[in-house]
Amino acid sequence: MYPSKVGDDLKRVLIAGATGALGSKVSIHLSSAGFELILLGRDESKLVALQGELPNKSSYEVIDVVERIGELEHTVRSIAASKGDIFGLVSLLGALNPSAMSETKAADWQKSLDVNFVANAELLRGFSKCSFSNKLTRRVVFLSSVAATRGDLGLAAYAASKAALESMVRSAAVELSRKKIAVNALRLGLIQEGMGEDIRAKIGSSAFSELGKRYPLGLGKGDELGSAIYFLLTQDPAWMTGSIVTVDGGFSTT
Amino acid sequence: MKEPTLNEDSLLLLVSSLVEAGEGKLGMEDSLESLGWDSLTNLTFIAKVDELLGTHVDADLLSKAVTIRDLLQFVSK
Repeated sequence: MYPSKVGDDLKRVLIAGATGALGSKVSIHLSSAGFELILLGRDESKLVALQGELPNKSSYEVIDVVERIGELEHTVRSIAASKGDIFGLVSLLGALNPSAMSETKAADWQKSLDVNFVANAELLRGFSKCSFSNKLTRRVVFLSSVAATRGDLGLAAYAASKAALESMVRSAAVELSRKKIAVNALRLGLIQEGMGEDIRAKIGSSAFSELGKRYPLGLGKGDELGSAIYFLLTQDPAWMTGSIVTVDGGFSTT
Repeated sequence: MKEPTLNEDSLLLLVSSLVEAGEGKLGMEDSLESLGWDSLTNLTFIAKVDELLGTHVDADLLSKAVTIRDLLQFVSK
């Protein structure tokens, strides 16, 4: 299931943002595929509930990644030190708070950068400092958005922070290649669960239905995201790094 | 501390800011359409009410609002 060279001791994947609607789907997908997940989330009751749904061994750490952004690097290293060698890092961290630019203040730009970019960069920084027990290439997967390259109303802060994430992925891939860490991101279109429902509430049913028509294969589902993340985690041998892989039901082609 | 509700004056102030109208130039019976209220303003109004009051405005209900007065229901308990 996981890469053939990965032994039983090396199937640990740290997953941030695990308890969101999407995170849960992805966690179940990866656990079913044989990974041992270490779930990061801020709400312990949700972590426990999710853990109960996972078919394979898992554990969790309670942390509010935005409130404790300065501790993330250390947290990742401590987790690796206590639980053992980590094979992969998957981050579903992200938040979309659409707002007109005229009402987007310094604190709002910063908040968007923190959750969509800085928190992810800090997770990666921590992961890159972990000691790895063998030469197997480690895998990192982040989530970007089609908004990173296409403008739309109310998305300036979100788009900028996702573009920052994509740029970071490219440079990190070069820099961390010497540590044999492959860093990639998925550039996602709108997924129905989680953010999709949130956007429906914010733009209304008719506008949401119009948005859906811009996706030739329809809006995404959590399972599709799970399989795309699985692919980036398990490419074997790992020769993809610094790639931004579009998974958007054809949205970008129209 | 979050304010529990907005009164008419603070709602007018919020709307003035959203549609970039001068303070004191708007009245409760002004139609949103005449102020250039659009889908972006909807999004931003929802974000502002969430930020100020911690309540979630339903976009489908909001789309039925015609005048500034109609917005009161979303900012008062």
